[in-house]
Parts: sequence; C-alpha cells; structure tokens
Amino acid sequence: MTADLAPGLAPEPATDPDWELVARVATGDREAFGELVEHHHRRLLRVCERLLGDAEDARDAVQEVFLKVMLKAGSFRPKALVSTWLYRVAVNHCLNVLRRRRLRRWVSLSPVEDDETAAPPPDLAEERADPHRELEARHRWGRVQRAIADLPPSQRAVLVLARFEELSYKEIAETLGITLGAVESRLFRAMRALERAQEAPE
Amino acid sequence: MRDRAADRRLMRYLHGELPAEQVRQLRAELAKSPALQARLAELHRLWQGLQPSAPTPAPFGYVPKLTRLAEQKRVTVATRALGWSAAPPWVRAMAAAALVAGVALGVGLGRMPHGAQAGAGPVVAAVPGGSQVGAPEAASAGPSPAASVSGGVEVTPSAATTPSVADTTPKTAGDAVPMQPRESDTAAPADIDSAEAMLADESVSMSGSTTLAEEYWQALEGTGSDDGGGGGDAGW
Repeated sequence: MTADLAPGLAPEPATDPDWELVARVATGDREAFGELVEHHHRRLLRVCERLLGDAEDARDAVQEVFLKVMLKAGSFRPKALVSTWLYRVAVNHCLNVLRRRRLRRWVSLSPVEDDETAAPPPDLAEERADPHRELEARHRWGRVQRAIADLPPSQRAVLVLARFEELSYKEIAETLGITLGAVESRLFRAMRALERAQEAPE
Repeated sequence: MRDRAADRRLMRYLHGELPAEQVRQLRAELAKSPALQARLAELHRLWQGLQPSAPTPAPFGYVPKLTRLAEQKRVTVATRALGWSAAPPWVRAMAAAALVAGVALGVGLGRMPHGAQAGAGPVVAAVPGGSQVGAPEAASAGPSPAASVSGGVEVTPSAATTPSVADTTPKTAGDAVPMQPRESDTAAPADIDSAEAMLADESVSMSGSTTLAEEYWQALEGTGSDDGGGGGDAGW
C-alpha cells in the first residue's frame, strides 16, 4: 500500500506568524533570531536528543540547525508551519550525523548495558506478581531497546516523530520530504524489527 | 506467519490514520475475531511500551549563547563574502597564473648573466651621466674599493652610464673589471688627478694593505707603515 503525497501536502498559504520572524531573521534582525530560537529550541532539542541519543550532541545539532536557518532564511519560502520546516532541517541534520556514525545508544530510553539495570518496561503490572515473569519481561524490554538503537536512521526518524513527537503520517511526510506510503512502510518495518527483537530467544 | 496487510491496517488504526469508514469496518471485524483482537493488543502493547524518558532540559544561557554564536557566524560569513574566497574562480585562476609567472620571471632574471642584465637595462642607461648609478650593489653597499682608492670619486664600470661597443660585450659575474678611468673622467677636476697620482704611488695600490686613512695617520705620527700596529697602539 503506497500512497502518494496527499493533496493536503501541497504548499499552504503562509499563515504561521513565525514566518514573519524568519523573514526578519533573513534581514539580519538579531532580536528576531533570538525569538525564533526561544520559540522552538526546546522541541528541537528533544527530537535531536531522541534521534542522536545524547543530550550534548543534541545541543550541538540544534546549534547547527539554527545557524543554518539564520544563513539560509532568505532563501526559504513559506509553505507550511515554521515548526515543520525546523523539524525538517533538524531531522535531516541528525540523519546526516547518524549516517556518519552508527548509533549504539538510545537516548530517550535509558542506556542499555545490562538488562537488570535497564529502565523497566512500562507496564509490568501483570508480571510483578511473578518475579520470574518480571525478569523475563525486563530482558525482553532490553532487547527492544537494543533493537531501537540498531534501527536504520530513516526508520528511527519516522518512529521518533510518530511515537515521541506524536506527529501524524502527513506531518512526518512533510518533515522528511517523503510520501505517506514511505512513512507507513518505514514505521511498519521498524515495528516489525522491534517485535522480532522482543520475541527473539536469549 | 502474520498477515502483513492486516498488521498494517491495525497499525494505522492504532495511530489514528485509518479513515472513518474503514474504522467502522475494522471494529466490526474485531468484534467477531478474538485472534484479531489479540494481535491488536500485542501491537498496542509494543507501541505503548515505547515511552521516552524526559528530555534533558536546555542548559542555562543556551539561547543567549546561541544568539551570540549566530551573530559571530553571520559576521564571519559576511567578511568572507567580501574577501578573496568570494572571487569568481576565473579571477582566482588568473591571479594564481600571474603569481606563478612573476615568480618564474624573477627566477629567470636572477639566473641571467650580469652583463646581459646590464645590457638589457635601458632604464639604467638612460639615467643622466652626472651621477654614477652603475651596479646596484655599488649604490647600496656603501663605499666600494674603488671609492676608497680614488678619494671619494666613484669609478664604477661605465657600462651603465655610457654604453659603448666594448661595453656591450656580455660579462659574466666573475669577470674582473679593471679600473679604467673614462675619457670624460680624465677631464674632471684636480681630485681625479690626485687620485691618479695616488694610484701611481707604489705605496698606495689597490692590492696593497695601506689605505689612505692609514697613510694619513702614519704621516701624522711620522712612522712608516712597517712599524706595525704596536707602535701605533703605543702612541694611542
């Protein structure tokens, strides 16, 4: 099932007031740049941290993203929300970083060195009654975390945007510049990989 | 073996991406199929299990620091845009070629024989003959041996000032050029005559160790040049 870009993905009129900020940034307005950073840096830090797996790397990435935005602000044309555009710049930057280094850590979930010390699975209500089952659930959860870290960057980006940023398929497609079908396909493959990791024997 | 198409549909349902009509249809199927319900529960559990930890908050002063960095970057880029790197490639290529040609010309001239250089120097030859501007080293390196001998009158090779048939003969750097006063110089005032007289005196020769200054001091002290330095030093 592959769907092309939906009609809704066509350029929209620039109704986002932040585009005015971007236009001012293009003229070298320092205050406008500060406002733009203030509005969006938290969200970008969050997504970069979840993609790169490290808070410091995320800060560096966001810094690079805003510098790119400042230097190229004049060449961008308002199409959608500024936040979508910033997501796109940030995610592409992170994907480039990830392609350069294979990430072995997963930030948003605690680092996995030992299943015993790893973050607990989110729902252990049933397993807590039985210590043996609880331990098994922890091991299973550890494998999922490792599988997330091993996902190809393109699949990881879709997973982060869908699950942690709670973007719709359409927003993800806009952000990554891919089709709705590609979003669905990558997400499906990512989930299958996580499921296989969860089911894999020790 | 799982049904991929069914899984995809369940995932779209979980993510709220299924159209309303298909949602109704799926719910009807779910009501009739416990296996489908179980599969939906598995996917839901996996999806809900992917819970992120809280992101690290931005450090204090992050935004001002970022703004400062951006300003520096903007200045750097603007400066670079005005500089050499902003020049079109062909301009840079031309400049590089000119630089290489200049260096090659300099090296080539440096390797040419001196005589050829002098002969090829119409600018030097065109300098009015009143002053001696022969070899560059004569002009810049202070008093030459010739100057010390001739009592202040520079007697340099005349090729530069009055080219003649003989002067056009190329000379190598190692050529010894005898001091030959020119005809025009012989008509000069008495100081030239006295210089020639000095040259005729055996005690004062170009190759000898006695200089005019030594002669002068020896005359003052009434001692010969053979006294050596000891007597002179004693006199001091």
